[in-house]
Amino acid sequence: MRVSRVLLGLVSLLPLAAVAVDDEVKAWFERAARAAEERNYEVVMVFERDERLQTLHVVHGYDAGQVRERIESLDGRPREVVRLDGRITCNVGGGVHVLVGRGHQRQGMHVALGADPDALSAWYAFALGSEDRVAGRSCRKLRIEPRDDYRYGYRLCLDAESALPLRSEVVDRSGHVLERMIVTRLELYSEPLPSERFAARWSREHPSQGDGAGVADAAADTSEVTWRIARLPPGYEVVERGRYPVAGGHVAVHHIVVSDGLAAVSVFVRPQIEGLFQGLKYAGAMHVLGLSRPPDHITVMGEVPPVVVRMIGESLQRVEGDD
Amino acid sequence: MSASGPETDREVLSSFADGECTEFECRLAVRRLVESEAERHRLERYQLIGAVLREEHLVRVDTAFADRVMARLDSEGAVEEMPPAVGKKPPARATRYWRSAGGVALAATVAAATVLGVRALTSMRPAAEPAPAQLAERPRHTPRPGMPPPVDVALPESPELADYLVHHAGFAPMRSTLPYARVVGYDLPAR
Repeated sequence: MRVSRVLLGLVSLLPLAAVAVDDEVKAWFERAARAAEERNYEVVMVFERDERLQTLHVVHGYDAGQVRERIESLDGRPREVVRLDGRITCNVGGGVHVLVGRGHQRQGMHVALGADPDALSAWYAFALGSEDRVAGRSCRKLRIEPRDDYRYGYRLCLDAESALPLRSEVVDRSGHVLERMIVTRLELYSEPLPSERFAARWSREHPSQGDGAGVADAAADTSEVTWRIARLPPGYEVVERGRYPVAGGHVAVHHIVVSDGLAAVSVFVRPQIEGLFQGLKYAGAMHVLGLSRPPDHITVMGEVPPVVVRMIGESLQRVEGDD
Repeated sequence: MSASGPETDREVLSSFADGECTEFECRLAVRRLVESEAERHRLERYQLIGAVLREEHLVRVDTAFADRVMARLDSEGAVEEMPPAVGKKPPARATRYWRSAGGVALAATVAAATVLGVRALTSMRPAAEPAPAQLAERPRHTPRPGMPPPVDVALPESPELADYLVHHAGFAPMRSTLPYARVVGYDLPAR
């Protein structure tokens, strides 16, 4: 008995290897990833984070390979995020931000959508659960459990008809729910929705204060400084590098995206100025680490455990010349 | 252990809270924490006082979590649920012993991990790479009356951070409305 326990313990220390994911699980995962992007739908949902609730109205469309989406908060101060033609407009909390980010323009990127469940299985365990009912609709439970402490898990209940997530929870390894989204009403549309359904409501009433800054254009920065992450958590790799200008194009922010195929971590590096955030904060599943590393300031953020943002941020190295 | 008086206990707990205890003192403190709810609450106060003195962000020690673990062990008898070897029934005394030992070990681990987790969150020493288990856990609970809320929610405190959040949303996991729903929940300051 004792020997078998020792053996079991030793086996648990071996490096994890990818295992084949059950075909049915794989089919649900892929349907869900595709549906969230490519279906036309309208939902009302409740978003819970840090014991606070928020009701959101979402209109989502997909037409000619382009995602269109408008998310509006139905309670509290008017807030909305509009994704339209690769451009994102945020009117939240009094500030209007108009950004054209690289991630918002891309379709079929390798974070989650298009990810191979077999490859992910080295770091996550997939399991289909029983049927359930959310918003008056049948749904199927899908659990994505982390195999180590470097990532969070996901508990989904996928609509039987569309595979859209009707309930989505981000959980830590102890099973604590860090964020929860529950759909209370879902309308599916077979045809693309008209453009006016995605028009920014609040930014029309409050003309944009943004200047379109954030266009992915590295031309403003001619320096040859690059950044290397000396210690990546197991399973993570750099999947994206880019720069975008701020402060009227005079300053470039380096943006590096690190992912394990499901979770994503962003690293932002910019010249140090007064008032930039330092320390470690969280909101729901999101952890943000701010580090002063004169002459630079580093911000690392992602829906990952704090150990991940710390490891990445503290091992970031400035490299003069080509990386 | 039995020779230690209240004053000594407080000193040991204070050393434990400050991360300055010897191995023996740490074990002593953990045992005290497991045995006594009052000691767990005392530790909580020490942590908060220490955080204020060090001008750190206030991150609460979830001693209530250790309390809940002990209560659960008491009500469910976690170790008793382990099936005995076929054909053997453990004597009642042995069961009680293992239940007690298992409970103490588990709750001690919880208490220690909680404290270590808070230390790791509040100390930002680049050279020390904490073990994942120490950082993976984080208090999540309803704040008690009169206690500061967890550091959260009003996350963007600068326009730069707000921009980062929006940019990050384009690469967020489980590509869906959720990343953008997160953004709607923030108070983004004006540029």
